Amino acid sequence: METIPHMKTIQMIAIALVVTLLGGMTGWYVYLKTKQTAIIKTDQLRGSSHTVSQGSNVIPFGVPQISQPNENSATAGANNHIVTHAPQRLWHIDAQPIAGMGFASSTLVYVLRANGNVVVADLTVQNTRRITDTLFPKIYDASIADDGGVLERSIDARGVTTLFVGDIATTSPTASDATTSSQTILRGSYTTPNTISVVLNPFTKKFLYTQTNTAGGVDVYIQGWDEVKGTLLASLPLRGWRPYIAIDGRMFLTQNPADGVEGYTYLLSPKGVLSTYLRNIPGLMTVPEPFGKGILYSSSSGGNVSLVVATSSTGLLTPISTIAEKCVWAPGKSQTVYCAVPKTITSTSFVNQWYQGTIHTNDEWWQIDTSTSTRIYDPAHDNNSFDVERPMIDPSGNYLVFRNRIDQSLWALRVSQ
Amino acid sequence: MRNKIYFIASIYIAGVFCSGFMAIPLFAQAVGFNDTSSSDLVVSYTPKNPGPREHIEVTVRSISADLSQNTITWFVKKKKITSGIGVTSVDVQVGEVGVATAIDVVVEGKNTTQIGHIAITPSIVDILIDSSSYTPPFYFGRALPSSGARVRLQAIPYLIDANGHTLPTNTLVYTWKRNGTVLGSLSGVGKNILTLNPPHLDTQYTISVDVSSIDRRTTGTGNTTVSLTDPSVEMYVDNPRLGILFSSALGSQAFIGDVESTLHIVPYFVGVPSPEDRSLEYVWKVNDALVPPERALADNITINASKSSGEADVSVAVTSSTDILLDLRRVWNIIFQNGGATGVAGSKNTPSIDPFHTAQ
Repeated sequence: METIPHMKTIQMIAIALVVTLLGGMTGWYVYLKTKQTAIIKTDQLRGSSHTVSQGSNVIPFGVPQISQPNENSATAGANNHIVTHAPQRLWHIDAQPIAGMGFASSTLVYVLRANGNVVVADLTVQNTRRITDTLFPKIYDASIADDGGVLERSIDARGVTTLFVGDIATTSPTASDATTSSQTILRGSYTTPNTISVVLNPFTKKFLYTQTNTAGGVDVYIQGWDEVKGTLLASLPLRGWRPYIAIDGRMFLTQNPADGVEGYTYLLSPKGVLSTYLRNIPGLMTVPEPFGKGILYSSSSGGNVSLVVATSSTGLLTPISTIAEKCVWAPGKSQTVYCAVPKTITSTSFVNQWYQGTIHTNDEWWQIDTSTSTRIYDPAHDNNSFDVERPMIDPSGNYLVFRNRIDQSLWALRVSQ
Repeated sequence: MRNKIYFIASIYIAGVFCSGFMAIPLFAQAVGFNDTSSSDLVVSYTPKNPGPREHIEVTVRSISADLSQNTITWFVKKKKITSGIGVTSVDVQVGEVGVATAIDVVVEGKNTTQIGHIAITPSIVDILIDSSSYTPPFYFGRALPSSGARVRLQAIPYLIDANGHTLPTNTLVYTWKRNGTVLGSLSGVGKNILTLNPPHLDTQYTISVDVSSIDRRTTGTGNTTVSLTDPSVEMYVDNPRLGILFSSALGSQAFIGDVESTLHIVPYFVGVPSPEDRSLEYVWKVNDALVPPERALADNITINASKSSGEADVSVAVTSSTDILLDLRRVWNIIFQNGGATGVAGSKNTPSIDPFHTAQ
C-alpha cells in the first residue's frame, strides 16, 4: 500500500520528463526553422532567387539532373520556379542577368552573371534549381560543356579578362545529407588570362581562343579542358577575329563585323592553315551548321540587313532581314533555321550600334526553310518584347532558348504552339 | 551602289553553294597576255583584271589591216560561240581561280586566214582591314579605323601559275598604293602586310596592291577603300554586382533605379590601347560644375544623388595629348531614383563625397 504514492510520484516525474522533452523538441524545431529561413534570406540577398538543391541526387554522374516536381517540392521549394499550371509556351526562365547558357546532355544549364552560380532548368515542367553556390562575381560570359563543365569569363581589377574552367562537384554524400542541405561547388582553376574571344566545343571540351600577341595581331590557340596551356594554331597579323568550333571539330575564324566593311571567313585546319570560306561580304556574320552541312550568314550595310542560308546543295538568299547571330540551326534538319527577326531596323549602322548597346530590337521568331519563311511567334501577343541574343535550341528541337539583350534575362519558347 | 554590289555578291555566294563549292573568290585578277599565233593579230580583254566567273569583253584587231570586212569566228574552250563579218569583240565568262579559259579567234580574209589565241586564268587578291583603335572587352564588332589609330591591311593573294601551282604568299612581290601613289618603302617581296600609322588626315582613301610573281608572269590586283570613322563615347552603368552593362548604353536621357551609381564611359575607336592610356584626358562635369580630376577616375565616375533632386547633367570631354583631332564631348541627363544631394566619388572603390557642398 505504501508503494502507491511512490508510483504516483514516478508517474508525475515521467510525465514531466515527456512534456519537457516534447517542449525541447518543439523549441529545437522552431529554432531550426528560423535558421533555415534566415539562410534562405541571406542567400537571396547574395543575389540568388534559387534554393540549393537537396540531397545526394544533385548531380548524378556529373550531369545536372532535375527531379520532377512533386507535392513536396512544390510546397518546400518556395524559391524554386515551379509552375502548378500547364506550362506556357513562353517561359521567362530567369529574370536575373545571366552570363551564358548551354545544354548538358539535354538539360539546360546556365550561369548567373552576378555570382557565377550554376542553375539547371527543366524546360518541360518549367522548373529551375541552383546547383552551385561557389561565388564568382561579375561573370560576363559563360559556356557549358555537354558533361556539365562550365567555362566562365570575367574582368579583373586591372581590366584583364579572366578565364575559369571548372566542373560541378558534390561532397561525398553521408547519411545526414539525406535530410539536410548539401551544397555543391564549382571546382576548377583559372587558366589563360587576357583572352579576346573564346568559344567552346561542348562535346570535346576543347576551347578555341584568341590572344593579343606582341606583333600587334593575335595568336589563335586551342586548349583542352584540363590543359594548363593552349596549343598555338596560328599567328594572325590582324586582331579582330571571332572563332567558332563546330561539333565535328572544324574551326572557323570570321572577322569581327562592322556595317559596310567587308568581312571574311576562313576555315582553320588543325595545322593552322587558313582557307577561304566566305569573302568580301559587308558586315559579315556567320553561324556554321554544327555538323558541317552548311552555313548561314548575314550582311549589313547602310541599314540593309540580309540573311543567306547555305547548305551543300542549296543557297538561299532569304527575304528575312536579320543578323546571323540571332539565328540557330534546327537540330537534325540541315535546311531549317530559326531566327529572331527585328520588326524594324532603322539604323544605317545597325551592327555597330547593336554591339555598342545603343539600340535594341523588338524581335519576332521565324522558321526559315529552303522554300518558306514562317513567323512562328510574335511576343506582342503576350505583351512582351525582347532583343534576342545567343539563341540556342535544345537537342530535341522543341525549345528555343535565348537571352534578352535588354536586361540579359533568360527566356525559353516552345517551338510548337 | 554598295547595296547593289552586296546583292550581287550575295547572289554569287548563294550560287557558289548551289554548285557545292564552298569557297570561291568573288573578284580576281586575270593572268594572261596576248598569245596570238599570228603576229598580225592582237587579242586583248577588258577589264584588265577580271574576277572568277566574271564576264569580260575580248577584242581582236590587226596591226596592219581593217578587220571589219573579215569573217571572224570565236571559240571558247574549243567550242564555237559566234561567227560573223566584222565581229571583232565577244563577251566571255571566265572560269574559276586558277582555271584557264582558252579563247581562240579565226579571222578569214580574201586570201588569208589568221588565228589568234589567248588564255585567261583568274586570280584573286583579298585585302583585309583592321585597326588598333580601342574597343572594350567582350565587344564583338570590328575595331574601326579612326584618325588617331593605326590601320593595318593584309593582302591575301591567290595566284596560280601556268603549271597550276599556287604561288606562296611570301615569294610574291607586293606593290602597295594609296590613292594611286606607290608606297615604295612599304612595298617589296613578301610584304603582304601594310601598316599605316596615324594621323590620317583623309577621311577616306583607296588602297590597292599589285601582286606578282618574281618573273612578273603571274599577276593580280586587289583594292579596297578605307573609311575613317569618328570616335564616339558611350556611357554604361557599372553595376557593383554585375559589372559593366555593355549591352545597354545610356541614352542622352536616362533613368537609373538606384540612388548611387558608377557610370563607365567607353571611348570607341580612339587610337589608344586602353581608356586609361596616359595620353587621354577626361574632363567631367556634373550639373556644369567641374569635377576635380582626383575625384574622377578616368573613364568612370560614381554619383550619389541621395540628397538632391535626383537629376544630374553629366558631361565628359575626352581629348588626347597625342591626337590633336580627338575631341569627344557628350552630355547625359540622368535621373536617379529617390534623389538627394548630388555627390561625386573618385571611383567605385572610394566612398561617395559631395564636392558641391549640397549635402546637409
